[in-house]
Amino acid sequence: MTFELWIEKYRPRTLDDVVDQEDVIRALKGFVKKKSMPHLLFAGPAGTGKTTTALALAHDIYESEELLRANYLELNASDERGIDTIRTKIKDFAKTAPFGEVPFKIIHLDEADSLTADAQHALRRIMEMYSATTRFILACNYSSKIIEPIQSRTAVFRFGPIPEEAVKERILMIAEKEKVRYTEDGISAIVYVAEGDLRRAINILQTASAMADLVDAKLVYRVAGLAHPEEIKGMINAAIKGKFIAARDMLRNLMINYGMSAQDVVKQLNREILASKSIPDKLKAELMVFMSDVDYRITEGAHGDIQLAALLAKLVELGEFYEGTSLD
Amino acid sequence: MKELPWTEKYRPKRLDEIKGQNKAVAEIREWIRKVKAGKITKALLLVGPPGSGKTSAAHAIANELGYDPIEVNASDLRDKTHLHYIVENIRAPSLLTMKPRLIILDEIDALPSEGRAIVSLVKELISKEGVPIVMTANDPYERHLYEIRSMSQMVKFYRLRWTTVLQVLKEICQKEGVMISTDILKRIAQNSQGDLRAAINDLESIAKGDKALAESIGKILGKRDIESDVFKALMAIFYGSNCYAAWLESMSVDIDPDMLLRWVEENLPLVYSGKILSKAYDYLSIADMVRSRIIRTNNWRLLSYYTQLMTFAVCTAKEGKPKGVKLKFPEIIRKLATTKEERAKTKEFLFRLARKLHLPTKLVRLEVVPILIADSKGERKILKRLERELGIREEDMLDILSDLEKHYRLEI
Repeated sequence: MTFELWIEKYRPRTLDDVVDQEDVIRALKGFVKKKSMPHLLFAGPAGTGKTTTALALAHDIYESEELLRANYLELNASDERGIDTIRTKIKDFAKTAPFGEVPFKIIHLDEADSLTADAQHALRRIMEMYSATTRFILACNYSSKIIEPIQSRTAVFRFGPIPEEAVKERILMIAEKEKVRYTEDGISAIVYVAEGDLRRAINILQTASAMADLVDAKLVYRVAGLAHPEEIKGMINAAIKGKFIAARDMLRNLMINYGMSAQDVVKQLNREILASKSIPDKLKAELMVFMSDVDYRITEGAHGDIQLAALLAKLVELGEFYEGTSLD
Repeated sequence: MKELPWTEKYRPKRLDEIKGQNKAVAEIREWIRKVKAGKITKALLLVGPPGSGKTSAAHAIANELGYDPIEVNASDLRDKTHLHYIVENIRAPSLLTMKPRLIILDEIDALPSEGRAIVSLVKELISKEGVPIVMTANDPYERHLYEIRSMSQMVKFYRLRWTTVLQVLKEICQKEGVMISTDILKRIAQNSQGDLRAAINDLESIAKGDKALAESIGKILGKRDIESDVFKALMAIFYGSNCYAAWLESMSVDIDPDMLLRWVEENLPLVYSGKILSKAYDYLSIADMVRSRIIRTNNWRLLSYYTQLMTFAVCTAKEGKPKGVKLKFPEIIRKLATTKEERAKTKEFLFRLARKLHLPTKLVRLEVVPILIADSKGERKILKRLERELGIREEDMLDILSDLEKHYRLEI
């Protein structure tokens, strides 16, 4: 058994160690050489190395842990309460001059595409205000969700999904070093469910190896399913069977006790409903219309629990109409 | 010597004597600072339920500034000559004290029919630059106050907690030298529903009346009960056939619209089911959407749709007479309150972990927590290390993890 989380232990520290993404790395090394860089926008799916690359770039630019710590600020847009708290943190960080030789500090704002368009405009102004002493690295899943004025002020780098071979190689390397017992199909299963997301692959490997002595395909699929709380399915079934209050209790439990965000719940609901084998397609279509509405309202600031409860009430109604329906 | 009523006698003279309104007081101090610095500021609009300290604060502001307060109340608005005199002479310092003046417009929502007059008065006063204005109101969302809101800086006073009321009552008893048991004071405080003025009035009548009778204060004083008003409104919404009446009834309850929304939402599925429930929830979710638009765009004109949708529209959803049930307090409010501490702990744990791992908290929850749960059942080596690195005690993490575990299909 290990003392550490493997995503941390095996995170590449320098640009040279970053897996795949050769084109991006080559360009970034140019910035390191000149000790100068523009604002950057990293776009790509989860687990393809955006955060790691940002860290490695900063590491190579500042050359020491101390300077890195003093000059590098990492924020996550979806974890901060709105653009105002982000502004305050940036202001506090940017008000002191950069330490050391490099004439700028780096602010890494992850999940920048979770900010609304208005907040992004505010962000653009913040970027301009501090551009003399800071450089921003914005990370997002889709660059199309970033407003034009920001895109045009940043150098955009695209991160593709990591090829299966590269994921496999990395997973095998870690498995060897950590002395994990595995089967061939176990490793293939990890590569399959990770879908090019290296971080997820490593986390699945560690969870599986912590749960049993042998990592095989069966275990991997079970672990991969863990992330989806059972209550979502139970909630849908309860609602379709007309047990609204039970369904609403599960919803509140998920949101309050488990702390799941309303957006995650609706996304998960959507996934479960879409994949269900027993809900008739016509019913799925009606639900899609409603779910898209709920999702939009939540993004706009409505109470997630009320909007989702309204969705559950809709399920109750439709469940009556299409009798005998339930999730598999 | 004429004796002042206790509510006057113990009225706070300075801002720091105002209890339980720290945020409001801080905002007021900031406003005072600006006025003192000579910056032209917006008029101050103090809003909040009765007895929360608005009027006291207005006079305390005059004290702190060293200005002479001129109070204009609702009845002055009818006296045009008096009003004219005030407006014309406002910039001249007081003849008696030679101090500059501060205008206090108290309870500007008290006379809705005088709405226009108030709005034009406030506009005129604001145009006379250099004279600070403080206004108070119970309900800032009263229709005619729309313009005033946009011309002023709003400071919110909240319903006082009963423990705060109790503390004040105890202090008054001490100063007056009256002996009243804590138990009774507690009941007065709880009965007051956060209205300190009402509580002090009750205290005075008990202290000066027959003390033996005081034991049965519940009966003498009558319960100042908001809940029963809410129930009446809910009955009208859920069971009434006149939805306009249901709307009127709801608007007369002394309750925040957001709280009313919660009351309606909690009880909706108890009364309605099936298609009707879905229809009613539809209206409620639209009401909630309107609420978010009001907040986002600061467009208070939408407020009436918000309240109409959650009362009138919900009322129309029913067909026939729904079954009678026992209505209840919004569970979600209680749940949020009772689990607040644990939720904060869990959140803090996930947040620190997220920052350490350079991940969003939702990914920590999805991918990393399962590893930690597995670790917590074994030798806890990762947890021991995290204890040092995150500064969170191992036992606390174990508690949090066992809480989170219920949500995963983990069979280890």
